[in-house]
Amino acid sequence: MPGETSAERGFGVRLKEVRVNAGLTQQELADRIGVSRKTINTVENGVFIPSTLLALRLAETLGVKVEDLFHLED
Amino acid sequence: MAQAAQGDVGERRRRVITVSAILLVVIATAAMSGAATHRGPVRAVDITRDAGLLLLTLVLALRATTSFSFLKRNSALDDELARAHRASAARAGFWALLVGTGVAFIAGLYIDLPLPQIAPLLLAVGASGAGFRFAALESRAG
Repeated sequence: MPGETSAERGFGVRLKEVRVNAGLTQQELADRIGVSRKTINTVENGVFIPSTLLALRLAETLGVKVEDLFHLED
Repeated sequence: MAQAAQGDVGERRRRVITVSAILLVVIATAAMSGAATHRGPVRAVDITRDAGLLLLTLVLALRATTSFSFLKRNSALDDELARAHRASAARAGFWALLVGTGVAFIAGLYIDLPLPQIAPLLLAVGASGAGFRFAALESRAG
């Protein structure tokens, strides 16, 4: 569920890959969205599951679809 | 520069909460010990210590579980991760207080445990529990 702060099984994250391809650091991405660098770090590590709003903002900022950042794992 | 400052503020918040939680446990232990050994009229030193204990408990509980601030809030430090950490800290404080009160209740059935003696410890357990939980989650976030 959004706001969870422990790793959730079956939740896949490709945020780091997309962010690095976009040439952004965690801090730069955080500044563009208006969150802390820790938030980006925990989302990338699968520790924190972002809300729908944050997921949409991440996707919009990185110019991709939400499904390109997050997916369900089998 | 501003980015580094934001990180510094977040780290300082974590450190302040950790130190406050440790300090609260120390003061609560002193207050508990003082209440157990002191007999007679209340002294100025006891009032000062107990006022400090209550103030520190309030400040720590507010810092660890709410976004309350007298200063202008930094929105990046009050994002959804921080709110999730605060919610988790509030739950930890609640359960620490509940378990602590239960233990005190059971202990009170067997030993003499006056309220002025046990109340400081219960306050410290609740507020410090929340503070330590928040600091641990912030630390884990990197």
